[in-house]
Amino acid sequence: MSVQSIAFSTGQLAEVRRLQGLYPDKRGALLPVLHMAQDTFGYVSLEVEEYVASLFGLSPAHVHEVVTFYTLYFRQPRGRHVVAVCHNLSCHLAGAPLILAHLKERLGIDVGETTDDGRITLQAVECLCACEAAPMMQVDDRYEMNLTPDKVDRIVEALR
Amino acid sequence: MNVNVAAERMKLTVDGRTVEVRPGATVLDAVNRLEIALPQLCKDHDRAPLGACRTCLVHVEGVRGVPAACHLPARDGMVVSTEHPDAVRVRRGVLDLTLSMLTPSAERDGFGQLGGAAERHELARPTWTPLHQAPIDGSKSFFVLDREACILCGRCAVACDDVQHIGAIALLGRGHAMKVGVARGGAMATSVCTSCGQCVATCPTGALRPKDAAAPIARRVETTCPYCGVGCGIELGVRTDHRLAVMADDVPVNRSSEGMLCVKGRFGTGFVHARDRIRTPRVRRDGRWHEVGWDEALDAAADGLARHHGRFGALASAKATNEDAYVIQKFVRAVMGTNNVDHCTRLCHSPSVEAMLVSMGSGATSNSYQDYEEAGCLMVVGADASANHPVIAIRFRRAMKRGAKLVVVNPKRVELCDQADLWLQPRPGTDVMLFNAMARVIVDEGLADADFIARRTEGVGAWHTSLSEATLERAAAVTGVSAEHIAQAARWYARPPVSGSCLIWGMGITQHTNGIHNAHALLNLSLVAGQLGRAGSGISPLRGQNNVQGCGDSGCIPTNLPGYQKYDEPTLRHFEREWGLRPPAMTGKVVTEMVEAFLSGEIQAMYVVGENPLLSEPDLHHAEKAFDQLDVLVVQDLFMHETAEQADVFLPAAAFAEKEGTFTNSERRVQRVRKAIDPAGDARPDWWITAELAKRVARRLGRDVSTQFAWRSASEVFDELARLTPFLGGLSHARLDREGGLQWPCPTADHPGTRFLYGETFPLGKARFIPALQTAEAAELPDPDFPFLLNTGRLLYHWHGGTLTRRVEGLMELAPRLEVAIHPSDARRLGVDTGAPLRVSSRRGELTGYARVTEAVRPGALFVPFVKLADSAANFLTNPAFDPASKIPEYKVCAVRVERLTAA
Ligand code: SF4
Ligand code: SF4
Ligand code: FES
Repeated sequence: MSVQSIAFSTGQLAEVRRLQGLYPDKRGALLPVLHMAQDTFGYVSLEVEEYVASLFGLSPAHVHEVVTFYTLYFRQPRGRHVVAVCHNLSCHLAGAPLILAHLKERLGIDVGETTDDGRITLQAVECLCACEAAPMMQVDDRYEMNLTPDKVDRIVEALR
Repeated sequence: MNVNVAAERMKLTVDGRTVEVRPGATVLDAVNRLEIALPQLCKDHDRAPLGACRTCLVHVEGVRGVPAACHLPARDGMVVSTEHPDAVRVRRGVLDLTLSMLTPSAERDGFGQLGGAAERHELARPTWTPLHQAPIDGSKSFFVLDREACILCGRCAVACDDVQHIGAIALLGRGHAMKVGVARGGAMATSVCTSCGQCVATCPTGALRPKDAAAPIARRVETTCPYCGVGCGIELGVRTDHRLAVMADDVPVNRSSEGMLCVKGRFGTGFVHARDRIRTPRVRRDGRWHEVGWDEALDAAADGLARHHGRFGALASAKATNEDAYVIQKFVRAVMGTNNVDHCTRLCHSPSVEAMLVSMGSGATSNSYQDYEEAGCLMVVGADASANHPVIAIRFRRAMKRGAKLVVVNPKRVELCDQADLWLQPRPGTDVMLFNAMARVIVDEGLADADFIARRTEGVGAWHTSLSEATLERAAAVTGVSAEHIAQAARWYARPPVSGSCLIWGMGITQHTNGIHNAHALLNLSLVAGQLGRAGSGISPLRGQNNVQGCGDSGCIPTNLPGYQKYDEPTLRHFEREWGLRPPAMTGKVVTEMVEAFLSGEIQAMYVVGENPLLSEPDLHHAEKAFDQLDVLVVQDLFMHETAEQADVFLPAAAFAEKEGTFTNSERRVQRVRKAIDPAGDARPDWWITAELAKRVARRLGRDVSTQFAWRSASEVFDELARLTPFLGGLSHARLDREGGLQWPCPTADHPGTRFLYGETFPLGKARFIPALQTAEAAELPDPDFPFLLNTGRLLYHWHGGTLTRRVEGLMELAPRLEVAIHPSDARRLGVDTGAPLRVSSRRGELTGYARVTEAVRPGALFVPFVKLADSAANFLTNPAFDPASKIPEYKVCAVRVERLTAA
């Protein structure tokens, strides 16, 4: 992505201003605007971070902090689907390492990578607040819970 | 528990002892009042609690669990224990976990506050080991970031963001991958970090720590920074080996700096110990220097100067104290029989001072720094505050966070332009047209403050007529700024969204042959909009040197006696009564005229204190020739610099950390300078040296002035200055020690000092509109032989000519060579990249530098800082043409050509 191509449309800029106006401090709108940026530019590159920082008058380091903190911002191009396995304590004890290993093998990629056909990106993430159904993972925007290798196979199979 | 928050004072019991705190205090405040040692790793004593480290745990009767004291509001009647077994057990656990994050090594000296806390909790070694290792980031010159000693408390990021408003560092990532880092995740040196050291000062573990070997600190001495005119408070650490620690601490209670510092104040005091400090007086005989005792040196100097009574001039130092300045001017006036005494203001702000004196009757900044933060609009003209007055730039950023509009007027893209709401980029030398057009907008659109103009000013009619030329269309054509932007700037300035407006300007306005017109155009703008004389408004020439305000106040100007008093009969008589000697009544020569007078023989002896005119004067080759003509040159300084090399006698002076005194900063605040260490070798305070010299010269002239120059301390000198200067009348060292720095006018001992001037009246009664004319753009404009326009200025990491900063290793590392900023299109034509060696020449001389290709300058323009590095200095090129009214040389603009050098 070249630097020049990073710019919101006029309509999007109006939306940014509307979102900023919703909060007592406009930086409250940082998360939704980062999502807009991710949807528009595909992923949140360092250049996108800098662009968003300039829209808020924030330092790029601050935006980098936010982007690296949350797991739903992608800092590399991602696949059509994102599979994010929780590897935090509850899930770990309930077998998350097994699930992750299974996924890696089946997809032939490591954590953080995307399959060659651009279909799936695999992630390992911190707690997603569904410990009662550990082990669990998030597939795009839905939760898949009480996982077993078989169940994982079926879920992955269905992703196109 | 008896809860009573409303009480004026709340009484708590901590570990069985009672303590009173004010409403709003936390339990940690109560603990700290009793000086009980409780860990508080993430709490910066002058910042809001972060609540991140959980090491300040205490037990409170009636409260479940072990709350964090820093976050717990104190209540009347609370019974707190820091020693309760539960609190100690949990706290020890937290400290154990925290300590387990760190990797011990010989390089780390005990993990700072964390190490101390662990020791007190009998934690010799942690139970666990860290998960990951990280190499030390040593990319910054003064300090390291050692992530293996970092506990992720976040204090550094807060310091960088909320104190400095720079935002170079942040806590990146989450979970155990979290780390302190910069945007783009690279090394610290790749970030926007300015090396201010705010983060280093606050880090509780030494993860961020200065690079110099940690020597034990014996004492701490609070004093005032010796660099720019902001006048920040600094606390020097004096090591057990009597040297200054490389890193100075900030002073949160200082009212001018409020705990902020820049890289020079924080890390730049090492010049005091430079190996080439001159430690012994020297006399030149047969073309060689001889080290001699004070008596011999002073006698030699006195012999020479006494021969030239009346044919003498002195250049005082705006870096030295008020006391030093006062004694110098007294010596010149009372003993040498002349008013030829000046200082460097001639080279920076004399047009501002001159214009303000004519228009209002006082040459000082009218407002306080606090007013920048309360203003609704800041208009910053020809000033690169982020580089030259970094702590003022922080104030601007704080104001903008609160919603103030920032308008920047600068032909060069300085850092502030990127933060501004509006950046006007006029062609160099067209400022008068720009400001006149703004004034017209204000009048034409009915935004003028009619009431203020009627009651407080005069001359509006004639001035208004003089604006007839300045239509928006014409101004747009002349300045290259769009009519729309000119009008917008005028509207924001005259009617800011809230409060008032501050007008702030720097050398970009004054170092021109039409400097005084520029200054008048600005002043008129403030008058027509009524933007002065109340909180959140005002006019500020940003002063370059630490004591440029005080040096003028103390009388080191040829036009006025101390306190800007005139040479009129009653004043002269008053001084004669005080001094026993009558000062001459004739205006003396300014420094640029003095240099000319060397050539005509009108001046044959010169006394130069703490200045290096053979670096700072325009057209250095010409100045060198002039200095050659002098019969006697006495130089008093820390170092053997270009001017000192020419001297007959060299008198070694004490540095700021080696003497007592006061500096007066840009907001008229008189602040204490305190002695932290003994002078290097035989060096002595300037005031002492000058007084000794005065007595000896007088004796040779057949007079005895031993009682008039008999001070035993700097504090006695100050008392005399205060007695003769009405606006300092209420000040003394003792009072400043008691109350901290105070702003003049402060006429009586019970006067609280003055935040802003002109609230009721102007020293002239009414302020005057003075028509300002757009004259020729500059005395020398580019032509086919010299096609580029050269602009000069300063850098963050060097100060003025660099006499001090070149002697601080880390600063040299940050800015080692002379860089010539050049626009990409010109660079392409010359076929040069960043780093390529260049030769820049003007009609007067040449220099060698290295290209820095940047859009910060316009096509056809070059920028060179006026620091001297590797024998190259901008002032070999600059034009000595000066503004006829204020006599400031035109440093800002001259015509040059530039060539590529084949790499050596
Ligand atoms: S570097 Fe120091 S101040 Fe910054 S988070 Fe780590 S321990 Fe805290
Ligand atoms: S030195 Fe100053 S600018 Fe650099 S990271 Fe620390 S606080 Fe920020
Ligand atoms: S000092 Fe209270 S939590 Fe860190």
